[in-house]
Amino acid sequence: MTETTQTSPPQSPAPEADRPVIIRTRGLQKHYKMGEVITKALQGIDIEIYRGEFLSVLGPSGSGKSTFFNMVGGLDSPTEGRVFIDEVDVAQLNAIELAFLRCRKIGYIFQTYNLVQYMTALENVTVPMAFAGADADRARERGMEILELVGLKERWFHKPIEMSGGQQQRVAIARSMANAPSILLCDEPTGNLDLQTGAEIHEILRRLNCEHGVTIICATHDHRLINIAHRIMWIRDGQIDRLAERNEVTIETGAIGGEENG
Amino acid sequence: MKLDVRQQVRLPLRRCVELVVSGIQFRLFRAAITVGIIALAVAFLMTMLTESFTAREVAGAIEERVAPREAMLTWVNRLSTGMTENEVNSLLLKAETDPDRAAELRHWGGLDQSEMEELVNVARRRDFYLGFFEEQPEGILREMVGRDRGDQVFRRLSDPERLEEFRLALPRATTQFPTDMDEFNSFLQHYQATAEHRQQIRKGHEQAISQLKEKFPDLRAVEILAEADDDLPDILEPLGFRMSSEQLEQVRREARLSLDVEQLNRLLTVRQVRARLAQRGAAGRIADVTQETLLREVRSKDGASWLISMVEGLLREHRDLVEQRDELSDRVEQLSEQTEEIRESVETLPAEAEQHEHEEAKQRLTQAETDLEAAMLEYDRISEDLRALEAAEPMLRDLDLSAERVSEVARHRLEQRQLADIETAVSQAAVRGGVLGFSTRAMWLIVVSLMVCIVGIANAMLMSVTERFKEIATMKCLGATDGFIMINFILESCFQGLAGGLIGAVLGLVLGLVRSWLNYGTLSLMQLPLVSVLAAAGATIGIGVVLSAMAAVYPARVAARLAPMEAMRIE
Ligand SMILES: Nc1ncnc2c1ncn2[C@@H]1O[C@H](COP(=O)(O)OP(=O)(O)O)[C@@H](O)[C@H]1O
Ligand SMILES: [Mg+2]
Repeated sequence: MTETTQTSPPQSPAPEADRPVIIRTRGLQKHYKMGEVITKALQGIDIEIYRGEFLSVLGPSGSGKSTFFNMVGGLDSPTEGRVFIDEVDVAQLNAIELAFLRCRKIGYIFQTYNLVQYMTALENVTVPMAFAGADADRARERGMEILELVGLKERWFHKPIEMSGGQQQRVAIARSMANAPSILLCDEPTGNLDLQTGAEIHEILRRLNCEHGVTIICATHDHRLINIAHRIMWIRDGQIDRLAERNEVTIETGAIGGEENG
Repeated sequence: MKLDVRQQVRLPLRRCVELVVSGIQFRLFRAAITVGIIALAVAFLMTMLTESFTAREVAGAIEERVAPREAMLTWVNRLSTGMTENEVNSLLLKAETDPDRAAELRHWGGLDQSEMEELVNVARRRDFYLGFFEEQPEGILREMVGRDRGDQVFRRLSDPERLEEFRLALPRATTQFPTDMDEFNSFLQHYQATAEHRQQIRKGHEQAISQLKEKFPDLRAVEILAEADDDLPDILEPLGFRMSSEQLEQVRREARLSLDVEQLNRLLTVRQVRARLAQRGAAGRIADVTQETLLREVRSKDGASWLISMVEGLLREHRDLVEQRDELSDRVEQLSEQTEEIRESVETLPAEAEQHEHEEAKQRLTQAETDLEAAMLEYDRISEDLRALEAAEPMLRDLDLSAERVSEVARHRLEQRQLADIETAVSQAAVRGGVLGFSTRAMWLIVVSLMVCIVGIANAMLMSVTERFKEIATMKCLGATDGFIMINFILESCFQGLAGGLIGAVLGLVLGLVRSWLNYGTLSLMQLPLVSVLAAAGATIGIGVVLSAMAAVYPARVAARLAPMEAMRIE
């Protein structure tokens, strides 16, 4: 990992050839068949995502961002093509191995937080640890540590309904980090939040990326996220519209910002 | 750097339980449906079981309570009526365990030990074969043994031709013939050979009865028993009857009760008694007065004393009427004599007598004749009244019971009647047959209700699963295996089943007890079979848990197969 400080803009990672690939997709296609109509949600995505990278996925609604996440996260199987995580073909894994993968290697963050309503913040965070077989005391201990990381240590006993959206999403982030995964998949994590709270979430994600070396793939509408990403991938109609390094894009942020304002 | 993919760990049951319990608290309402359904089903089952168990116990208790009366009736029958072939045989079967009966049979038949043993042996085998014939449908029976039934069958089959006929028809029987033909043949021979001994027994018994009649010429068997002194067993012994002194005690008491009830019943044939009972408000109309009316009325001390004084009143009335009638009869006689005298004096009056003397004599005669006529009319009226009471008078006079005894007898008889009613109720509950005392219909009802139950619970669980799609999908994203989700839902259902089962068992027990109490009275509560009822409660709760688990299988599969990507979906 290259050295980064909190304030400095993200450094471009090393040249492509040297960087270890954590996720590789080959000709990824996903077709949904609903009656007579076939929706081609993904139409051949080829991308290498590098270890420790922060990748933003941008695209209008319905462009296939979530579908891409489902494929990459081992939540659904593609119609065509392959997904390799650390060079392991996800399609070759059986149900139990997939559960293992979801439990420890990948963390998921949803737009709707998806916390378990009847559990406290701490209990929510310890669920994945329970699935990983950790004993309850150890899980609670580690749960508190992670909650501290997202700044919610004092609120560990609160139920989701007693928390704001931003707080809930922070608990969800803490939960996704429970088993120290190497990949974090965020599907519009700030989609339901106001700008200020969204920025806080961005900051947490950025820190996780920098300090813990977690590979983060983040789908969003929010163009400010471009500022903390290493690379940006635009998707349109299930295809990669454009793929650019952070520093290639900065010049255009104004234009995009203008688009946003207009 | 290679990704190290291994098998996801399997959660220990304890952790599953912890997770389920924390979830149930949150879904109390949904759980209430399952709990309610299970509670209903278990309560239903438990009610039926409780009722069935109490009914069975009550039946036993009743048997015990009516036993003395049955023993008395048996004795009355033995002392007064000859035995049928069937009765001889069933007595022979009894003789195996009852030495008194064995002694009686040996006495009447003049049998020695080995002859007796042979008879018992034959009776046992006869019973065995009769069972086979009784099980056959009428049509097949007709083919095998024609119109003969019971012992006639064995006599018929002693004819080799008929036996051959039977052998040919035998394959059509609905059940297996109990033994092979050789054995049956040997039985028939023995049966034939011992027929004379059984005949002897019956004759000996009939002789004993007629000897008893000579000893007590004017008494019926009940009366002999009711009026028996302690030496009755000694009187009976030479005739062959064996009665123990405890038995005498019991039988005598019952016979007396029976006679006293007869007395009370005889009172009911008196119209006046019925009329008074109706007047007293025991029944709406005279025609409605029944034995039950009388017994209910006199079971209290008050009612009994009323009855006694009413009967005394009627007797007094009768006596007065007799007195009046006798007086009148004297008077009529006197008057007719006087009339006769006057008539004579009128006829013998000399013609030369004064005119007014004639007139006077005629007047006196007319007067006397009118008086006589009036007296005779009065006599007729009284006689009429008397006739109505005359027929009743012996019965009224026979009543020699104290008020205490009347109420005691009435109470005893009412209890016996009630027991008989309960017995019918109990036997209607079909406690003597079927699985756990349930009739086939009840079994069907139970099975159907349990099916409905499963469907109801499955539906509620399915709704619960649908509602929790997102939660389940999220859990799968967090590493839950299909197996965990499956176990999670089944466990949850089991807990609800357990809660429902507990509630239902208590509810059902209470309901069952109340129903038994309504049907069989306090007898049912006294006879509560605690162990069986507790076992039934355990079993029904178990059924509740198993049912819930079964009902949860399908919804749990639906949940387990849910794609984890559902978690991403936004409604
Ligand atoms: N489960 C599904 N069944 C059918 N069509 C789907 C399903 N999920 C997504 N789609 C369709 O695939 C396309 C891409 O959807 P999605 O990946 O959710 O887009 P995004 O997340 O970028 O808004 C859309 O047209 C959507 O209607
Ligand atoms: Mg989406």
